Amino acid sequence: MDYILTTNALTKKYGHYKASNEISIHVQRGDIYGLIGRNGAGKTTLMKMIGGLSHPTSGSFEIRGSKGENTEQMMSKVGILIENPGLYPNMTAMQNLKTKALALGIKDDKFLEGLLEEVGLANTGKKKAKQFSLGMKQRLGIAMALVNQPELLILDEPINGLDPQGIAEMRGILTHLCHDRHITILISSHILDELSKVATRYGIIHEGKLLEEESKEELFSKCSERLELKTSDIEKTMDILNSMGFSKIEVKDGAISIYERLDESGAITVALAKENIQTNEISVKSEALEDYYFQLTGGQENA
Amino acid sequence: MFNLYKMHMYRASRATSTLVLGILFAVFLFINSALASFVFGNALELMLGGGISATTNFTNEYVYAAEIHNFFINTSDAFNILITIFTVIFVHSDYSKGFIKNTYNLFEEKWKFVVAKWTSLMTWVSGVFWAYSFLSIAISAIILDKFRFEQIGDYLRVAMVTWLGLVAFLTIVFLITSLFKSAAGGMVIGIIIASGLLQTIEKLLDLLIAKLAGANLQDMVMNAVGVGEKSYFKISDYCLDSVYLSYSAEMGAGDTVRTILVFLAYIALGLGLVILFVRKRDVR
Repeated sequence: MDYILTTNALTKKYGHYKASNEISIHVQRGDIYGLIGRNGAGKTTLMKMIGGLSHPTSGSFEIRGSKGENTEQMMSKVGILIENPGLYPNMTAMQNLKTKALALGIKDDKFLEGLLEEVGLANTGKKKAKQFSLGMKQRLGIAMALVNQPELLILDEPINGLDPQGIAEMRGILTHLCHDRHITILISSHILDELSKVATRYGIIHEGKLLEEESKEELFSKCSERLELKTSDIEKTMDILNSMGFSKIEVKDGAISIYERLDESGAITVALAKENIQTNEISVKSEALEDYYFQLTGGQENA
Repeated sequence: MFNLYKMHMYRASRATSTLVLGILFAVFLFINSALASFVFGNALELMLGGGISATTNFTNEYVYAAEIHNFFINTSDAFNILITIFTVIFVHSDYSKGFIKNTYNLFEEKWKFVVAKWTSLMTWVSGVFWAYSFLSIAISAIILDKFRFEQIGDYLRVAMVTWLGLVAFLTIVFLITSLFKSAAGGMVIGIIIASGLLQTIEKLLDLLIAKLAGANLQDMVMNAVGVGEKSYFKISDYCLDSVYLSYSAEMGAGDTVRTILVFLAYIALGLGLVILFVRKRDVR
């Protein structure tokens, strides 16, 4: 696996409170890795440590093959937008970009103009950042994170507070950066529905701990609609289902889950009856991403 | 590090607060000029219809650049408070606006951040200091009959030493603002130093030390004003505010060396502490 980022039991303690508790995540190059968790779950703490803004209490992380706490080599290709974008409100978008560019010794104004164009802020001219909408500020924050031409972009709640149009624009930017510029993105959000539209891999964090880490396919397979079947003989049932051409089948906790041809429950029941297998229960079940998240984190009251 | 320095120079040049403070400096230069015409000139006498010729006894026959410099700069509350406000805004703005999050992770050696920021701050401050000093002398040369372009050596010595004092004073403001990440903290400490509020306590401590050393009342008072035969240790000789506010052309070589050493010690201490504290600090 070509991992651009791995963390190894990364922990941050504030007094006795563990904001991040031995978190180990694995981000592959080209991923849009979604960190899911409610407010205060530890997403920002984890991102700050990875982004070099906060020192881990224990544990380590590796970026682009460089191991350490915060080395220039590691961070030179990491762009961050943590919480609110850090902007000088009395400066224009270009001046804000130029300020960061100067720190990095970049003098190419055309490159900065290109960044503004990429995030849809090319025509802001002399408008000051304080006059920007929240969506514009977030997009400028992303442009700021792109100044050092990162391979890994860390975005903390970039869609928080945006209107539907702003969210859609942000989604478009993220997809463009990942697909066209091949930037790996680590993004956090508590808006699961939105995150599910862009992320390719997920880490679910709750109370400072990583509960699960899985691919989009794995997660969605747990959340999608399925036929749940309970019979008197599971082994024979599996043989019959295979002979009927079903392939997306899973056996778990004494029940068979079928993830295709959900409208064929009648045919399945008849086929089982012919073989003298008693059908105890057959029903279509579904679980939304949100339900799955609540189930993992201990219920809706925690959300 | 030079890139970081350039970044700080650039952002300060674009800040509205720099422009506003620039205007305020110009206004106070004008007000101080008017005050100078009262203190050093004969404006008061003219206003009172020439009724008190004794006003000429308040000052010497002539006024020199070093005196003008002291009047306009290191003993001027307005100048020191304005420069404190500039320093606090300069130091605090990248924290308060969150801009530091854009750059903090890109440099492993955090001392570079501190030194680059401090150097650019001192570049701005030095620019203001020398411009204010030269302009005050130019204006005084025009409005004061008593002004003489003589004893330039004294002026250069006083100006250089007080410039170093200002750097030391603002390094402490830089330290407090960085340490507490608070504009209010830096502002309060800066204003207390600039206004000389602590001098009374320092002088009291001088008296107490002399008393403990067995001085009688007369010795204590003479020692406090620096004319006594017996010399006792004075804590105020090493306190930044007293040293900065009291330096003048009349001071001898020994006092000048002590003053310079005190300033250098405060600069080293302030800068060293900021580097030490920032090294392991998280950005929130």
